[in-house]
Amino acid sequence: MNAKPPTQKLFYLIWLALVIMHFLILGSAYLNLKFANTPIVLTLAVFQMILILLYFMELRYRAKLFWLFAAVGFFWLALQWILTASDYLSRQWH
Amino acid sequence: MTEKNSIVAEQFVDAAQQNEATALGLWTFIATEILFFGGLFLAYAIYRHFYYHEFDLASRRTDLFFGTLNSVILLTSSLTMVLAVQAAKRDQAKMVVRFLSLTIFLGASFLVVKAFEYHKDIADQLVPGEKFNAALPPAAQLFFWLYWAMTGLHAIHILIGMGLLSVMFFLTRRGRISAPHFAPLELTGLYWHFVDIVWLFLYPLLYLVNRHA
Repeated sequence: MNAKPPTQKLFYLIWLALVIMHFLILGSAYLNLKFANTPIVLTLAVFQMILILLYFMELRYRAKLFWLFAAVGFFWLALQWILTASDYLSRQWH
Repeated sequence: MTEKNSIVAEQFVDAAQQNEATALGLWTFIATEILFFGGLFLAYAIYRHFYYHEFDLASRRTDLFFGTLNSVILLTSSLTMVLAVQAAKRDQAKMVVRFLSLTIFLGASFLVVKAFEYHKDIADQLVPGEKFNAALPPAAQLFFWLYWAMTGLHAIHILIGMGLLSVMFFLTRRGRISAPHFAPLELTGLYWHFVDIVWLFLYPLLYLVNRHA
């Protein structure tokens, strides 16, 4: 255990933050931010994911070994995307 | 072997160690699930890069109301799920059953909304193939191929999650889920939250492309 155990109230607050961020995502989609629209909504979605990982999935209260296992999934994902994208973007597929 | 130890497999010292090991196993499974959905998100990114305009037109044909409603339903189901796990840790079986029932209800609500949405999508001829909506460019089918594949696989994950939640519901009612033996419920929770996270990315990428246009 790395932190104090969570309280019931904390989970309701996290849920509220998630819903507020959700409507921020929806609202921002209606603003013309040119090429920034998608990066903004995805950044907010990443913040939502971090809240869920840390509190609902309790990574914050787990040993560092769990952080490593969670990070490995995203590391493999980065490899999958970077290697495939480098191929698609460096050749004339289209 | 005492009653208390009977749930702990012999390779573990105690329930705490068993809980830790099984949770780590589920995190490993989640890593494979990240790659599983990652491939589809990758396909989406590549085709959206090549067919930006077509993806733009196609995305605006998805039903934003159903998508938004389902997002709130899933986020709320994650709350009830985590509250069920916390209740199990405090050994409050009645609360666990209550929160599990709510989570199952919200999961079912998600699928019902999805069914209405799919029905509307089919009526709007948004299924790739010969009868695909003629008002959309042919490459918009790539978007909808991904839409059906990603939301369909996600819905299957919800269905599996509901099956697991139902098992947890009956196990709790029979007194098999209690502190410190709450590992199966905790693992189900981790899976459920992961499925929720997948939706958090499906929603902006499928429903919100160039909505301001």
